[in-house]
Amino acid sequence: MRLQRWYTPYLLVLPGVIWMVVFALWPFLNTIALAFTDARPLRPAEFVGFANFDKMLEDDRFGYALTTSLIYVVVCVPLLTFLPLLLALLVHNKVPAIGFFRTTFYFPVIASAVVVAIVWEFLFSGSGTINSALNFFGLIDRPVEFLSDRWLLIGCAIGLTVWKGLGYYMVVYLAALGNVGRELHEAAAMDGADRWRRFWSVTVPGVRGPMMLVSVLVCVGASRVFTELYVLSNGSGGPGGRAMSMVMLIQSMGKGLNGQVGYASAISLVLFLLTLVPLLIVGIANNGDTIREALASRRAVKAAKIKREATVQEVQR
Amino acid sequence: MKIRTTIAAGIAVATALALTACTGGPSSPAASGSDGKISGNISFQTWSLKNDKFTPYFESVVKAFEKEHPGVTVKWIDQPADGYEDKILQQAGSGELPDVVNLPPEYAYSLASAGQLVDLKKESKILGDYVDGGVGAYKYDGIDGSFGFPWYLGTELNYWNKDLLAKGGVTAPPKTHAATLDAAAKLAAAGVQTISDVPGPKSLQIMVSDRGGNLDVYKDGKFVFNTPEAAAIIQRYAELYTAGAITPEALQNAGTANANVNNFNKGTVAWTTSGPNYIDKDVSVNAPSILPSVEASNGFGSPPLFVQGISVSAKSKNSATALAFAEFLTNTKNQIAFVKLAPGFFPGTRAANEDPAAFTETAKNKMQGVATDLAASQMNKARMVGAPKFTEAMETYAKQQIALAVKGEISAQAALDKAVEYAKQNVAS
Repeated sequence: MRLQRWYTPYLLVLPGVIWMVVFALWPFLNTIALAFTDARPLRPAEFVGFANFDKMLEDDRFGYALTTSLIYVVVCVPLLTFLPLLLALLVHNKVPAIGFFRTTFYFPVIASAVVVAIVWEFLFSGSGTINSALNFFGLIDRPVEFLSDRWLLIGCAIGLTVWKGLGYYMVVYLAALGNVGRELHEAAAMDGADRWRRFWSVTVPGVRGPMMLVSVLVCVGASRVFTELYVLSNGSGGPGGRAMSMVMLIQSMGKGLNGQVGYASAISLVLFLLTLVPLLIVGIANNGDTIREALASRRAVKAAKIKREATVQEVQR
Repeated sequence: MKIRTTIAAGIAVATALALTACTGGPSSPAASGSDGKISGNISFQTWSLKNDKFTPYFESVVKAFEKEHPGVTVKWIDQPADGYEDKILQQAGSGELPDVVNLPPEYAYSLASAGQLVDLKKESKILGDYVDGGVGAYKYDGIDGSFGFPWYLGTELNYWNKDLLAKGGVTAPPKTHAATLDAAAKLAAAGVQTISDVPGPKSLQIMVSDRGGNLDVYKDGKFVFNTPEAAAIIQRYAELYTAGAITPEALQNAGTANANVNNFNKGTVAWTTSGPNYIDKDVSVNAPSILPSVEASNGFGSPPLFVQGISVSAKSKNSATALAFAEFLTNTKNQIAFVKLAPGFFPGTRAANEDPAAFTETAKNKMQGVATDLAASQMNKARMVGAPKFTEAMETYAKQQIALAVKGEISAQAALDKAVEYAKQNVAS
């Protein structure tokens, strides 16, 4: 048998490493480097220390963008974690033509986010379907400002994100529901558990893993929301740019021949760090048992050690 | 172990070098490979002009130049309308700016300040052949030189939906901006909306000039558009919004281009502003149902002057050829042939403008002919709005703040003060 040379494993992983360095690690490190400069296109960049971060604290647009992104996360995570589960339970039943309903619920996922957002804009604009209908029935004198009021605009965008995401996460739950044993439900029913109780005590624990995955995906997606708000506000972020998300702000600050690339990179870095926080919380929640076990085992080891030392001391005495 | 350490160190050094190579610094200007002879290959880039109408024109211009200079090859590239600024940035950043390139004055300013464009004042002997307003658009405070040959010029007109005006009892299009706002209040009482845009500093310049005043955006090294006159106009907009004369879309779209035109095309508002070729290019194609109701009138006050120019890359390897082609493309004969295809626009040379009959073509629609005549009549008083240092991002921010003022959430003066402060903090040094 011929022995492989020492560098063979390195050669095998080299394409993957190059790919990762060029398209992931290098841009990431470059963003960090730029965040501490006053870089603008076609001009020499100078190191400015934490000036971009100081500027962020005084920039009211950053405050609005942060608020928008946080609201997006806080509202979208529970909605997109539980509504798709309920939908999956609904279409999990074997009834005639259920395939049709499953496909229908999945349709918004296939459609382009931009196209869907344009359709929503037709619905909610001042002369759109909803305002026209409300006006027709005499319910309003002037159009409801769905897309020019900060909170209504954010609400419409969240509605769009939830509607579009339902089908995707429904499929994730459908796959997981197949693994929840029927016998568990039967046993719970025999013990007197009603449907609601069985949902919380059997179904939810049964899909806990996928549920954590969904919440992590929704959390990351919501904190990086762009398309929905951008299209619904035609890129303006609403009056005062108050409905801009963090990514919209990064795009508006960094684009063009006069873009403030350094400042946009600093906001990107903050967004990255902020995304880590909910991920950390979800990670801890997901691995709660493991962490508890590890802590308990550590305490046990420590107690055993103390006990052993005490015994040794007693023997010595 | 030593080998592994060496590899790790090598990767770290390579990464560090790569990082330092990408922190936004400009590459040094390439040494000109030109020997002053008109020869070799050059590239020429236009902005959204490759279509059935213009393609034969550009092909014939390129062919004529190549025939005049045997051995020269001109490669014509056209970029789509959207994302042109990003494309220019990408090309300039990677040292691949086309030799001859179509640039509006604001893009040319950014490239000129980075030393990417040839100073035509120094290199060209025929700059005096072009109209002053056009040449002036490519001269910038703080940068010595002139950086574009004026190619085609345009201005802005008012367009009215006569049916909607009549609905509110307004029999003729208002003659002044102040009268327009009064008419908007009257129309609002009849349930007709007039305005679907909020003013930005650039349009406030026009509105103030229509009232006999003057509003500068940038003067003596300062942003100065937060005047009481400008604030009074915004305050009037806020009152009109409450009265229902302004659409919610005006606030939704604050800072985005063409929002007012899109709403006018839908037939939901009575007034918009647009370029001189709006009737043939847009209304007759996208909104033929409102075409019979549309009437054009002169722009208010000192209407804006829009200029498109041709610049030459400072990094061109055949700069003499590039300069010769830029001069050839923008000579009187070729400019007249070009604007014949673009009704409502005007050529950039003095000689071409001496005889407007030479380039006035029959418009497809009757109102387009009226619009072309109106545009010709106001070209003399048209002037550039904004300022080179006043970027698109600053205009967008100002419009966003003004939208808040129109909505009544902040005062008009506070909106302008915030916009000035933002411009001051974000101006490139």
